[in-house]
Amino acid sequence: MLEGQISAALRRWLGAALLVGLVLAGGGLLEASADQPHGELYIRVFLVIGLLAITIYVFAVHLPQWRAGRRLRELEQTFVSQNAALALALDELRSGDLVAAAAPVAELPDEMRDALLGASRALAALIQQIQSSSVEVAGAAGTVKRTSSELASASSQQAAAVVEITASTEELARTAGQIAANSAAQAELAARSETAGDEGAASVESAVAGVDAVRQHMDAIAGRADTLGSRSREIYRVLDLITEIAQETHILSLNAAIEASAAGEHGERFSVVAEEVRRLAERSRESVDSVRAHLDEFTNSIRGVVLATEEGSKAAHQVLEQSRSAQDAIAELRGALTETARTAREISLATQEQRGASDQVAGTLREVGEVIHRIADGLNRYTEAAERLNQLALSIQLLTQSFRIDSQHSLRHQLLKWTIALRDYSGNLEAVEGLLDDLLEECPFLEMAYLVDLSGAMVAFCVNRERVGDRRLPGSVAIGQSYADRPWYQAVTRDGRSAVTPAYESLLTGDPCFTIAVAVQDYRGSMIGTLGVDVNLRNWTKI
Amino acid sequence: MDIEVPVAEGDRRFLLVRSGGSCYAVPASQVRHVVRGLACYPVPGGQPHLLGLAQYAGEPLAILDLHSLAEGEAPQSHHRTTVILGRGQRDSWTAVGLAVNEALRVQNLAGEISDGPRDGLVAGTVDLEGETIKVVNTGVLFEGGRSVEGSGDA
Repeated sequence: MLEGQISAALRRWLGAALLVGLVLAGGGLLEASADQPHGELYIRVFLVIGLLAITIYVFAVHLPQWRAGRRLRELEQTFVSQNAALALALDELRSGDLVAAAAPVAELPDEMRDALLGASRALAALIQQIQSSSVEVAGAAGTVKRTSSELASASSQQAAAVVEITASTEELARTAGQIAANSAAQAELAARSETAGDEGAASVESAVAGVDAVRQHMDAIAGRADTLGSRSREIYRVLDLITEIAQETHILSLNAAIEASAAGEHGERFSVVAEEVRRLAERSRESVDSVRAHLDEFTNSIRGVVLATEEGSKAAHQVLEQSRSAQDAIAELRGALTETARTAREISLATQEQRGASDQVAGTLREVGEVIHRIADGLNRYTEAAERLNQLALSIQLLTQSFRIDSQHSLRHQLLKWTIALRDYSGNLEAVEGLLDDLLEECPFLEMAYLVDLSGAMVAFCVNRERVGDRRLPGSVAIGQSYADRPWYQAVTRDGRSAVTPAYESLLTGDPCFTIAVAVQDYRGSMIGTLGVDVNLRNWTKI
Repeated sequence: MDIEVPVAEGDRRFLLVRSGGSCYAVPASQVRHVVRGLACYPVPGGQPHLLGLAQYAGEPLAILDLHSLAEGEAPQSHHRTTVILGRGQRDSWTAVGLAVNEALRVQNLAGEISDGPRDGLVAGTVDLEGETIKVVNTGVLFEGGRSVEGSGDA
C-alpha cells in the first residue's frame, strides 16, 4: 500500500524534479562558462527565465495537475462507491432479485441509473411476460395434452370400433355370399319344383279325369244296382206268388188227404197222390224259401253294392273336389314357385352385389382403421410433445420464479414480504403458525408453509387441508424435524437469498410441486431462519 | 151230407197242426176242411179262446184258438190256417173252427197214445220223430168228455 503511494508520488513529481534538475544542470554549466564576456548576464537571464519557467510550470502545470489529481481522487472515490453500488445491483441482478437490485442504483449517475433501472424494468417485464406466457403455454399444453389424449383415446376406440365394423362387414360379406349361394340353390330348387309342379299338375289333372271316370262308373253301377233292386222286388213278388200257390197247394193237398182219409180204402191211392202233392208243395215252399234266402242275400248284396257305390260315388265326388282343389293349389303353388324362383334369383344377384360392396367397404374400413391407427399414434406423439411442452413451460415458470420482480405473481417477492412480518413474531411460535395460516389462506395453491431455524430444524408449519385433505402427514412433516440436508435450505443458508427447487412429486398430495424458500432476517439484516412453501403445480398453473 | 171218417183198427189218421209252438194231432175224421185266410170277426164279451165268428159255406162258424183252448194261455194273433171240424149231416151239421198256425200234414199215428184226462181237450200224447204230439179230443168240443177212440164211432 505504502509502496503504491510512494510510486504514485514519484510518478506525480517526476516531471517537475527532472525539470528542476535540468535547470540546475543548465545553471551549473552556465557558471562554468563564466569566463565568457557577458556570460554572467546570460547566466542571470537564463536563471530568470528558468525561474520564470519554473514559476510558470508550477502555476501553469503543477497546480492544475495537483487540482486534477485531487479531482481525480474524488472521482476515484465516487467511482469506487458507484462501482460498489453497481456491483451490488448487478449482484442482486445476478441472484435474480430485481427489486433489491433497484435499491443501490440511487448512487449511480443518472444515465447509468436510468439505464440500469430501465434494463431492470425491461428484464422484469420480460420475466413477467415469460411468466405469463409460460403459464399460458402450460395451460395450452395441458389443454392440448388433454385434448390430444382424449382424441387419442377416441381414436383408439374408433379404431377398435372400425375393427369391429370391419369384422362385422366381413361377416356380412360372408353372410351375403352364403345368402347368394342359398338363394341360387333356392332358385334352382324352385325351378325344379316348378317342373315338378307342372308334372304334379298334369298328374292331378289326369287323376281328376280318372276320378271323374270312376265317379261316372260308380253312378252307372249304382243305376245297375238300382235296376237289380227293382228286379229283386219283382222276384220277391213272384216268390210271394209261388209261396201263395205252394201254400194253397199244401192246403189243397191236406184237404185231399182228408178227403182220401174219409174215402177209406178207396181213398188210399188218392191220399198217396195228395201226399205227393203236399210234398211237392212243401218242396216248392222250401225251394221258394231257399230262393228267398238267396234272394235275400242277393238283395242284401245289391243293397250293399248300392250303399258302397253311393259311398264310392260320394268319395269319388269328394276325391274329385279335393283333386280339383289340389289342382288349384298346385297351380297356385306353381305360380308361387315361379315367383319364388324369380325372387331368389334377384336375391342372389343382389346379395352378390352386396357381397362385392361389403368387400369394398371392408377394404375401405381396413384402410380407415390404418389411418385411424396412424392418427392415434400421431396423437399419442402429440400428447407426449404436449407433455414435454408442459414440462418445459413449468421449467420456464420455475426459472422465472427464481427472479424476484415487483409482481403478485412473483412468489419470491410475495414470500419476502411475509418474511418482514415473520421477523416481528420470530419468538412467538403461535403467532408464526397464525401467520403461516394467513399465508396459506392468501395463497390457496400452496400445500404447506413452514419455518426452519438456523440449525435446520422445523419450528413451525401449517398444512393447507383444502389441498391435502384428510391424508395422514408423513413423518418428515413434524416440529423439530431437521431439514438441514435439504438443498433449498443449504442454498438459502449459503447465499442468504431465496431458492427454488425443481419440480418433484409431493409426499402430501402426490401432485407435482416445487419448493421456494427465502431467508428471514431480523432488523439488522442478520438471517434468523428460512421460510419455505410447497407450491402445488396443478393449482398454481390454474391460478 | 154227413161225412164220417172211417177209422180202421190200429190205423188212425190224424191231421198234424202246429199252434203256439206245440204240435197237435187232430183226428182226420173230424176234419171237414182246411182253409187259409178265413176272415174272422171278433165277438164282444166272448171267452178268450173264442177268436170270433167266420162265414163258411154260408153258415156262421165259431173260431177257437187251439193252443189257448188246450193250454189256457192267451190266444195268439198270427193264425193263418183254420181247421174246420164238423159233425152231423150236411144240412144239420155242427161245425167249429180251430185256428192254428200251420197245418202240417195228414199222417197215421201207429204208436200207442198215452192216456190223458178223458174229459180234457188233449186226450193224450204220442212221440213222433222225437217230438211230442198232443192228440186233440174233438168230442169235447161237440159233446164234452168223449174219448178219442170213440170219436171214430161218431
